[in-house]
Amino acid sequence: MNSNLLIPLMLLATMVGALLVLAVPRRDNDRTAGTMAFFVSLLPLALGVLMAAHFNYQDGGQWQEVFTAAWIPQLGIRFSVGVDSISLWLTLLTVVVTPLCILDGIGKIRHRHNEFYFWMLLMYFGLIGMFCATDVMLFYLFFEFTLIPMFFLIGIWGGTERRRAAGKFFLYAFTGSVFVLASLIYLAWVHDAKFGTVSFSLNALYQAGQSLSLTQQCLVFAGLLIGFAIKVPLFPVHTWLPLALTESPTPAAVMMATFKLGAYGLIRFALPMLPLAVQRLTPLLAVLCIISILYAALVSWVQKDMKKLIAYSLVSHLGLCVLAMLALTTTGLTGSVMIMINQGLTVAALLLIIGMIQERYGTRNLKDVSGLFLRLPALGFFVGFFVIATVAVPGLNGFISELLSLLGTYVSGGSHGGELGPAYAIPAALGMIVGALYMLYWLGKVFFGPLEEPVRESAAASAPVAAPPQDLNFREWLVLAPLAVLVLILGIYPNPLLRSLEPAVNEIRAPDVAVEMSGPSGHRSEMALAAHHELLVRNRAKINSCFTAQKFWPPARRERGAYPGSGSGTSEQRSWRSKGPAGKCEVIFARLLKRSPQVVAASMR
Amino acid sequence: MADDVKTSLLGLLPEIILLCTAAVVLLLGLARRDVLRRLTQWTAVIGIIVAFVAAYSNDVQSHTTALGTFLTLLTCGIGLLLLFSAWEMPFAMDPAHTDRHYRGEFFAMLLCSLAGVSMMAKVNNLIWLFLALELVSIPTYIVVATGRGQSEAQEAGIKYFFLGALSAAIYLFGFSYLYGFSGSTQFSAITAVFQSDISRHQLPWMAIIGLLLVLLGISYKIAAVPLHFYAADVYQGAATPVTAFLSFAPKVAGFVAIILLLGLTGWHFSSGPDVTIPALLSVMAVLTMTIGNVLALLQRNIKRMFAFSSIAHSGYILAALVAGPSLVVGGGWAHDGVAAALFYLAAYSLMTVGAFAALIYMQGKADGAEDIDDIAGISSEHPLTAACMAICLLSLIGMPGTIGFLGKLFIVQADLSTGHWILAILVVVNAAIAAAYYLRIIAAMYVREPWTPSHVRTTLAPRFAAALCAAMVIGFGLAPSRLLSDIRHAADFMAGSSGTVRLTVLKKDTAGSTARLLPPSPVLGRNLAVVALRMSARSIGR
Repeated sequence: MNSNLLIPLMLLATMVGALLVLAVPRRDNDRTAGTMAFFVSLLPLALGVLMAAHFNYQDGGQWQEVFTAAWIPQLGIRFSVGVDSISLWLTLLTVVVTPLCILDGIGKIRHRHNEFYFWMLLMYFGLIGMFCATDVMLFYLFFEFTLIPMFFLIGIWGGTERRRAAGKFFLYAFTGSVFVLASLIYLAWVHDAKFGTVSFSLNALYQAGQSLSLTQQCLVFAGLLIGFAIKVPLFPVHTWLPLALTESPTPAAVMMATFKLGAYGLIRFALPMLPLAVQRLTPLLAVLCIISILYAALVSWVQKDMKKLIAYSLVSHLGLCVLAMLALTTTGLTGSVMIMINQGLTVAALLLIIGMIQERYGTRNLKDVSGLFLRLPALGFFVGFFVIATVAVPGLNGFISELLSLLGTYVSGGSHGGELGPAYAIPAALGMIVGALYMLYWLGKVFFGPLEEPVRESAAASAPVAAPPQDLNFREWLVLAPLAVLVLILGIYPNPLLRSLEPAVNEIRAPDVAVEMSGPSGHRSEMALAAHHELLVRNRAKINSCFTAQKFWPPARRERGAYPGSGSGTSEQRSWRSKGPAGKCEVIFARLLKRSPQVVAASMR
Repeated sequence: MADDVKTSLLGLLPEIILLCTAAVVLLLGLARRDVLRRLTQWTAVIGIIVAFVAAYSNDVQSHTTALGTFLTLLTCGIGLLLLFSAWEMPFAMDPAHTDRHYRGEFFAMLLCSLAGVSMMAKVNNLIWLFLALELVSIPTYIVVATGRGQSEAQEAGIKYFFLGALSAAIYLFGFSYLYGFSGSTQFSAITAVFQSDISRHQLPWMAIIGLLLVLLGISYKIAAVPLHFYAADVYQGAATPVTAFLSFAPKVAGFVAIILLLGLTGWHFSSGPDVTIPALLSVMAVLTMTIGNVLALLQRNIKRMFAFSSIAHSGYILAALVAGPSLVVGGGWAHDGVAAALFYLAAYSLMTVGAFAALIYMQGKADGAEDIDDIAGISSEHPLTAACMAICLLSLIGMPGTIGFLGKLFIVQADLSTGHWILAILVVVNAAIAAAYYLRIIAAMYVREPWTPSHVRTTLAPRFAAALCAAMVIGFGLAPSRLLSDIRHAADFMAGSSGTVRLTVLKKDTAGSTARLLPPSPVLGRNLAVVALRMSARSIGR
C-alpha cells in the first residue's frame, strides 16, 4: 500500500463510516449503530499505528506521509495533508481517544443512536483532518467543520441547559474563527502580491507572514489570536467552556476537552508565521496566560459540580500550555506539546469517570457523594490514578509535561531565547500547586471518608430503593484501562516522544529565534525596531507635552528635579525618580522586557 | 442590417423562448378544462429547460457576452428550482382549496419575470435597461397580491407596488440625468462621454446626481438601505414561494443593473481620485448588512427573518462591488469585486431558494410554519428536508465546504486586496452576527422537541428542489472550479472582453470606436461598449 494514502484513507473511513451509521434504522435501546461506529473508529486507529510505524522520527520536523492533490486551482487551494511529529502525536491521540469515547457512549446514549454516532464520527473526521492539514484553507475547513458536529452533540444529547450551551459554544467559536479567516485571506493576498503566486499552502503563508512589517504582523496576529484564544480558551474569553463542557454528554465533553484545537492553531500558525509580533506581544499574552492559570485554578477550587471543576482545571492547564509555548524555548515548546498530549489523556479519563459516577448516582455534585471507594473500588482506583497523574506526581505523564513547561518558561529570556523568565514561571508554578490542592480535595471528598450515597428512586415499582450501583463493568474497564496504560508508559518512558518532538519544535521556533538573534543588524528587526522607536518617540513627546503642562506638573518641582531624595538607590530607582512620566514608562517597559532602562531609553531616542 | 437583426435575435433566443412559454402558459391557465390547466406546470418546466439548453448552445453564446450567458443560465437554473418549490401554488392561491379553481397563470408571471432577469445583461441602452427591470418587477407585483387569499397578501401587494413604482420613478429620473449628461441612451455613447471625462479626474455633478438617483432607485430592487423598509412586510405577507421568488429575481436584476451602470462610468474608483460613488457604496454596504443582521436577530417569524437576512446579504454584495472590477482580463480572483459579487449572487440564490423550498415543504397545507416554534423538532419527522434546510442555512452562515463560504471568501479577498480592510472586517463581523439567527432555526429543527404536529403536503416537488439546492450548495462548495471559470469569464466583461470576441471587435471598430453616435445595432453597440470599457479600464490601470 502506498503509505501516502494513509491520511486520506483515515478521512475516507470516518466519512463513509459516518454515513453508514446514519443509515442504521433508528430504534430505542439499540446498540447496532454504536457497535458499528466503534468498529469504524478502530480503522483510523489501525491506520494511525501504521503511520506511526512508518514515520521517520529523525526528521520529525519535516512533513511526512504527504498527500497532495489539486482542489481549487483558481484560489491556490489544494487538498494537501501530511504530518510532522507534532501533528503525528496529536493525530495518534485523536485515534486513540475517539474510539474510547464511542465505546463509552454505547451504554450511555438513550435516544437517536444513529445520529449520535454519525456526529461523533464526523467530529472524528474533522479532528483528523485538522491535525493533518498542510494547506491553510484545508485546515480552516476542518477547524470550522468541527463546530457543526459539536453543536449537535451538545444541543441534542446535552444536559438541561443544552440549547444555551450549544449556541454559546458555536457563536463564540465562530466569531473567533471569522477573524482567523480574515487574517489568513490577508496573508494569502500578501503572498500573491509579493511573491506572485496564489497559494494557501502553509509554507507560502509562513513566507508571507514573515515578510510583513511589525504593525501588519501585529494586526494579523490579533486576528489569529481572537480566534485561537477563544478556542483555547484563555482568560477573558473562556466563559463558554465551563458551560459547554458541563452540558455536553460525556463523549462529546471528552472530545471537546481532549483536543487542544486552539493551542494547536497557535503553535502551528501564529508562532512561525509572525515572529516580530510574537516577540513584541509575548509579555502581554503571558500575563493573560498567568491570569488564566491562577484565576481558573482558584475558581476550580470552589466548584461544587465535578464537571465544572474539571472545566476550570482545563482552562488553568491550557494557560500553562500557551505560556510554555510563548516562552519560545525548545524545552518550553516541547512541554507545551506534551501538555496537549498528556493532559488530553488524563482529562479524557477524568471526564469519562465523572460520566460513570453521574450514570450511577444521577448527580455530579461534590456534596451528594462521599466515600465511593468503598462501593466502587475499581473506579476509585482509576480516579486515584488519574488524579495523581494530573497533579504531576513523578512517574506518571503529567509530571514530565508540567516540569518541561515550567522549566522552559523559567529559562526563557536568557541565552535560550524567548522573552519570559522566572517572573512568569513562578506564578505559573503556584497555579499548579493550587491545581494539586483542588484535585486532591476532590478525590478525598468523593472517594474517601464515610460512604454517602444519594437515595435514588427505583425505576421498578416493586422496590422502593434501587439496588446499589455496581462497580465497573467490562465495557468501562475497556474504556479506562488503555488510558491508564498510556499514562503510565508516557510517564515512565517519555524519551522517544520528547526526542521526536524536538526537531518539529525547533522548526516552529526557528523564525522567532532568527528574529531575536539577528538583533538590530537583521533587516527585518531593523525595520521593526525603527517603526517601534518611532512610535515610542511619538508617544513620549505626547505624554511629556501633556504632563509637563502647567496644571499637571508644577514648575517648581520640575526645576528642582523629580522628587526629594533623588540620587540615591539603584540605577533603576534613580531613573525612576529622576524622570518625568515618559521616563517612568521607559522603566516600566524595561521591566516588562527585562532589559536595562538605559538600553531602552537609548533605543527610544 | 438584416444580419444584425438576426444575430441580435439569436442572442435573445432564451428570453424569447421564455416569453413564448409564458404566453402559452397564460392561455392554458385560462382554459375551461381542468386537465389543460394542470398542464401549465409541465409546460413551464419544459420552457425553462429549452431556454437553458438554448443558452448553452454555441450559436447563442457567440452572440451574447459571457455575462449574458451566465445570467441566462443562472436564471433558468434557479427558475426551475423556484418552479418546483412553487409547484402547489395554484392550489394555495385559492382559499377554498378546491381543484376547480386551479389557477395556472401564476407560472406565466414567473416566466415573464425570469425572462426579464435573463435579459438584464443583454441590454445596451438605458431604455432597454428600464424595460428589463420593469419586466422583472411588474409580474412580481401581481403574484405578491394574488398569491395568497389573505388580507396580509393584499397589504403586501399594495405596499410592494406603490413603493416599487416610486423607486422606478426615481431611477428613471436618474436615467434622465445620465441622458442629459451624455446626449444618448446608448451605453456605448455614455461610456465614451465618461471616458473623455476621465482626464478631469472627477465625475461631473450631473453624472453624480444621475448615478445617485439610480443607485437610490435600484436599492429598492435589491432591498438595500435606504429603501429596504418594505422587505419585512412584503416577505411576510406574500405566499412563501412568492417570497422565495422575491429574494431571487429583483435582487439579481438590480445587482446586474448596478454593475452595468457602474461599468458605464468605467468604474471610476479603482484608482481614480473621485470617491463619491465608492464612498456611497461603502456606506450603503455597511448600513445594509448591519441593519439587516441586527434586525434579523430580533425576529421570531421565519419569513421576516429571511427578509432581513436578504437585506444583509445585499450588503455583502455591495461590499464586493466597492472593490470594483479586475483591471486585467483573466486576472486572479483577488482584486475582482465584480466576480465576487456575481459569485455571491449565484451562491445566495442557491442557498436561499433551497431554504425556502424546505420551508415550503414543512409548512404544509395549513400554510403555517411562519413562526420558529412551528418547525421545532421537525427533524425527527422529516430528516431529509430538515437536513437540506440545515445545509442551506449553514451555507448562509458561511461554513467552510459550502458555496456560501466561498462567496464570503471572495468578498473578503476582494476588499482586502483593494485596501478596503475596514469593510472586510465589518463583513466578517456581520457574518458572525448572522450565525446567531440562522443557528436558531437549525437548533429549533434538531434540538427542540416537536411543538405542534406538522401537516405536510403530499407533493414532493419542493422537497426535490430543496434536495437539489442542498446538493449543489455542497457540490459547488467543494468543487467550484467550473463555476469559477464561468464567472471569471462573465466578470471579464467588465475588465475587458475575453478571447476571440475581443479580437474580432477590435478589428471591426477601429474606425468608429470614438464616434459618439453609433448605428443602432445592439450587437455592434455592445461590442463597442466592451472595447470602450476595456480601454477605460486600462487607462485607469495606468
